[in-house]
Amino acid sequence: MVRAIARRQVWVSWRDSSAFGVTIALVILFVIFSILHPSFLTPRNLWNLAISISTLGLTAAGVTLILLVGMLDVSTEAVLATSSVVLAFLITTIGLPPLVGIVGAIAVGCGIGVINGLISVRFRINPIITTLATLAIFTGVAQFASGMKQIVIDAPRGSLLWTFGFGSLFGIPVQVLVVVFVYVLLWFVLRYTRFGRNIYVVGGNPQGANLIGLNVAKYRFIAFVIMGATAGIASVLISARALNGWAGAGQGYLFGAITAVVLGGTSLTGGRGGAWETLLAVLLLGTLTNGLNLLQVHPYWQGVASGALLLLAVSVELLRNRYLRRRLEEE
Amino acid sequence: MKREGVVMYEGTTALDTVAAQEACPPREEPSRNWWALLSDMPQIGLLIMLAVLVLFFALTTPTFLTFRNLAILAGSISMIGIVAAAMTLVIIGGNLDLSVAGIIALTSMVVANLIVGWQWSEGASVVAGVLVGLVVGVLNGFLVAQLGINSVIATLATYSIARWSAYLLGTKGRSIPLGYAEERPFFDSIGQGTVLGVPVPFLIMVVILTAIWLFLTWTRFGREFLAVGGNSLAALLTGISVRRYTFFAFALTGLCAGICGVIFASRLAGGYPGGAMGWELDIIAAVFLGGTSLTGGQGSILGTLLGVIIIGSLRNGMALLGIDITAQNIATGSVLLLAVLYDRLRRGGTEL
Repeated sequence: MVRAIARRQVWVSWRDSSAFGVTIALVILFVIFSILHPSFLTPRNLWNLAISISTLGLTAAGVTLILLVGMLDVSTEAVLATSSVVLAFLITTIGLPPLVGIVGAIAVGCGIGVINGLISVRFRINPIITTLATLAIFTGVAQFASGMKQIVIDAPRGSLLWTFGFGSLFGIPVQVLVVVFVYVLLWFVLRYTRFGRNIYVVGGNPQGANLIGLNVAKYRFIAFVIMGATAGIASVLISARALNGWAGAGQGYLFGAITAVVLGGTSLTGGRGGAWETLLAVLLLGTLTNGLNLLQVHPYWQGVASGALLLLAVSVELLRNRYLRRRLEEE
Repeated sequence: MKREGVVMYEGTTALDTVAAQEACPPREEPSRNWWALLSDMPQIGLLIMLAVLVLFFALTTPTFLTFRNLAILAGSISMIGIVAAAMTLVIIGGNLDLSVAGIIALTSMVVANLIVGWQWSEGASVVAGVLVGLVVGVLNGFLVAQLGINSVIATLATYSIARWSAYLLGTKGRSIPLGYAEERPFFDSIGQGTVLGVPVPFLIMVVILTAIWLFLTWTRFGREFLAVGGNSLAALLTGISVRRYTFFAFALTGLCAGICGVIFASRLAGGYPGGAMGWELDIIAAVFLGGTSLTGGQGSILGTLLGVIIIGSLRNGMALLGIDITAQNIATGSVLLLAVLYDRLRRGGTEL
């Protein structure tokens, strides 16, 4: 009896979460694409699908955290560009070992996160303005430093960078393992640590968090730094896959990441959302892109569709909020 | 008058009086000192900044202060200025419009397509182009004001739709050149013509800036909103419809971006789907430089105009010095950051 009630509650909470709609959409897409195109469900295509979403997945993990604390960061593409150029610069131009390059790229991501955090949190400048400015500055820095050219990285088969780009472990691509690791970490921290639970408090009710003695500024600052770090790791994955570093490495990722996070039901005003929901939505977006590419839908149409999809996701989220609030009032 | 608060009434203590004084401090007499009045004007910092910039570029380049270059400068800042004027209203309402660059590109493609592909007359094409801008603006307004979607997310989505639609309008995403062979007196004059030596786009900008300035200072609707801004509590208390205003601001921004797109198509003689890339930064930076704040209640068209001139001069002067566009972007971003940081420090309160 107790177990039945518990099972029912799990069902209800899942039904009410945004993951419900995303899962259904994902299943429908899988069915449609496997009917429309014979090669969709082949292991080779699924392998490609998994790799193609890994970068977006990493960026979206950072965006989830930023939105949870009630901030927004639009400088992600600049972080990806700068980290990618720095990675190639350290390895190719200076000739340092790949490990140093990777650490350097992630450190640059953290550094930009620190700048964003300092200005938005310490000086209380609107985070959108701050990150809009750092977006321009660091895109410029990346373009300036690379001379608008792609810097080729020489990574022989078996080297560390090559492993990040093309290697696999137990038949699973290393890129996917990195993403899964980051998401498990994010999920664990958000759900089972005091720090993670406080993030929800800070995002959901900043004044209240201040009153109960939480240092709101600290949590927001840390979220910016982690956002930078995940973008740094994402740029390592991009560069390892493309085997070059260039200022255009991040194009389009911010838009995809924000769409995924909103689709996953993370609230734009902070305090609601989670790691798994975002990962599911990333999977949905990746499947959509992969399937549309297989069906040879033109990228321009995909661009228009992605804008419409983001609008749809936000509207559904708003309607769901209204519905939930009304039901809460009835109870 | 001022001493009244110190008089002890029966039953009150000195502590009460102090508390009362702290709660409502005596009003300060307005200063008669002309210098104090001048330095109170928020625009004085901008004027000094502009003077320093002009002096610097005049000394380092031989061509900056020539009439020819100033005419080029006036033409190029007017496109940013037209959109920045309307963006000031959006930002006073506590929102941002990131879709303007997409609208400019889309409008230029629509106009070029109508003239070249559909053989429409110049006037009809221009009107259609401006209307396209208005339609996207109305969509933005509906999404933000009516549905209550976060303006950054909503306009990011409409930016994507507008930009990719622009690419769809050209064959395989290519730009549509109009060519100089044919005579298009009306269309060419919009972007390239001059009246008494003043570029036509500059005149259009002056008209739009003046109209929005008149709206903000001389109409009740405009004044009320300038006072309340994006502060929803204040709006609730005064009974002002923030929703109506927000819708109006977004629609106007779309319209102005449409006008800007037509000028863009005329100046570059064609439609460019990848055009105006990153212009939203210059536009938003100009508005913030002009002292408009996202929290509402503060905003001035004069400030925005000065911001536009400063950013335009910065880019123009750096180009004359042979500094490439990437470094110009770094400079514009830095100016934006410095402007908001200066504003924060001037008003105090850096701690959370």
